[in-house]
Amino acid sequence: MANNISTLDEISRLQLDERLKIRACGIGNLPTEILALIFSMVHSQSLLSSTTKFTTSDAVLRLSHVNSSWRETCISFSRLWSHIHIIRASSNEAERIQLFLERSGTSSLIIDFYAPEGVDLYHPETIGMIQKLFDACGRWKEASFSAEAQSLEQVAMILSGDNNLPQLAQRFNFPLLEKLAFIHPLESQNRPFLDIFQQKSTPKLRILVIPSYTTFLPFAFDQITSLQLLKTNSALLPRICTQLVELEIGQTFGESNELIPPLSAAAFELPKVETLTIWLWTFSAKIESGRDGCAGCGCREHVGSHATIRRACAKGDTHEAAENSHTKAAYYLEAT
Amino acid sequence: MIVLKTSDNETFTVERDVAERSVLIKNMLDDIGENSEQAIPLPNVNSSVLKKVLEYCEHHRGEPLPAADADTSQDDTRKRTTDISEWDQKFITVDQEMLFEIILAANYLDIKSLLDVGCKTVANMIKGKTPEEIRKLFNIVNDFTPEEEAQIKKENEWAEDR
Repeated sequence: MANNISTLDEISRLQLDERLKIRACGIGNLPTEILALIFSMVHSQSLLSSTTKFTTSDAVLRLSHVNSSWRETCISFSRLWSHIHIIRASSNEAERIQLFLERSGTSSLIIDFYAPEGVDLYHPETIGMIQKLFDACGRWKEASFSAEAQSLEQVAMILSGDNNLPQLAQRFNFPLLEKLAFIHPLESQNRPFLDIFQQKSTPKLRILVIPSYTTFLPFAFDQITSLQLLKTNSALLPRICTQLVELEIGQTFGESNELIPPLSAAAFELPKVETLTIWLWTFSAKIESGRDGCAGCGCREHVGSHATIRRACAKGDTHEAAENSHTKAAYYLEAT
Repeated sequence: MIVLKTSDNETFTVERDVAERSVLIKNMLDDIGENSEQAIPLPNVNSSVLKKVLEYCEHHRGEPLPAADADTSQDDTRKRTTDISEWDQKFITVDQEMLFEIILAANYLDIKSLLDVGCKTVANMIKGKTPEEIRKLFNIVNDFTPEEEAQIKKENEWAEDR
């Protein structure tokens, strides 16, 4: 009898424990789709943080290392694996790239390629990694190359293998590529590599980031709507980029390639531009009147050493109010 | 005014526009018609959680509701930050159990902005932490098999290599 009571007590206690366990709501109670939403937020946060620029992959890996349920959720959520950072200094790079390419499923890819200065890419591991990456070119949506001209030349040689360099451009197609960025100056020997991204291979390319414009660049400038240039030639810009909606520029040069001196106005006529960002090192900038007679209204936001200038408005209206009122206004940039 | 009935049989009388921050309740009200005095049963939400949820809905009443398909594309996910307004931050400063209850309730009641606040809060708790720290924070048991452990060890080497 005493035994029975003891057993009943035990059962009651276990039931109570079970109930308490059920009642205590923890992260394990969240359905997979909510957990995936949280993971995507952690992932986005790591993308936006400048301090973790090259560790996005690590953030995803860390989440997948917590327990089997989190791992399953991470692996089933292919978009978490779609941002691939390539760092030549890292070993096992090809294996890591392969893992990300597999787990990203059919998602479009964001590629950040970083090669430290002077690094030799002719390493079996790196060659394999580069080939795997370009084999997936049909899924590239954004690509950024932070590599010296010499490294990009090596990439071209690796991709061409035993074939001729001039034929390299025919081998790759980037139907989804919308954004392309080159951080370091490009040299003429990069032409075979850059030809990979010529107009017919990149029908959706709209956003371009390049240090400066040179005539050998094969990009489809007439379809670019957003351009970021460290150095620009004021006379050339309107001729090559007729569809620009967004422009971000650094130093401005005149027709004879001279740096435009203070108080000398350089005028570009860019009829479709809606957002103009000017990076300033030694001088400030102001936006003056457009053809519609709108005087600069002080629509400027100075953040550190750069100014973002959106549509200038005659009556000092807000940016939003002025949004559609000056579609034909020309923008005049004046160094002061 | 409408009446909501929780899983623990408590009733809450609230103004319609406050309750309609929940897409689930809004759809229910549309179905049963304007003049029904019937209490709306919410079997998945208890009274303590509903009280918090209604506090949120009351504060945000009148604000435009987010589009049903907002923030689902890859681009939007990338642009999404983990910023939370000051009021929301104070509101969501609760113990873990309540935080997850609120997230579940927001999901069930289809209150997208509240779900976002809850998930952002959890994301902020996770970011920058190692797997071990995350396990400790949420009391998660490491249940990996030896094979999985071996694979994870390898993946860790990739991460530590930079």
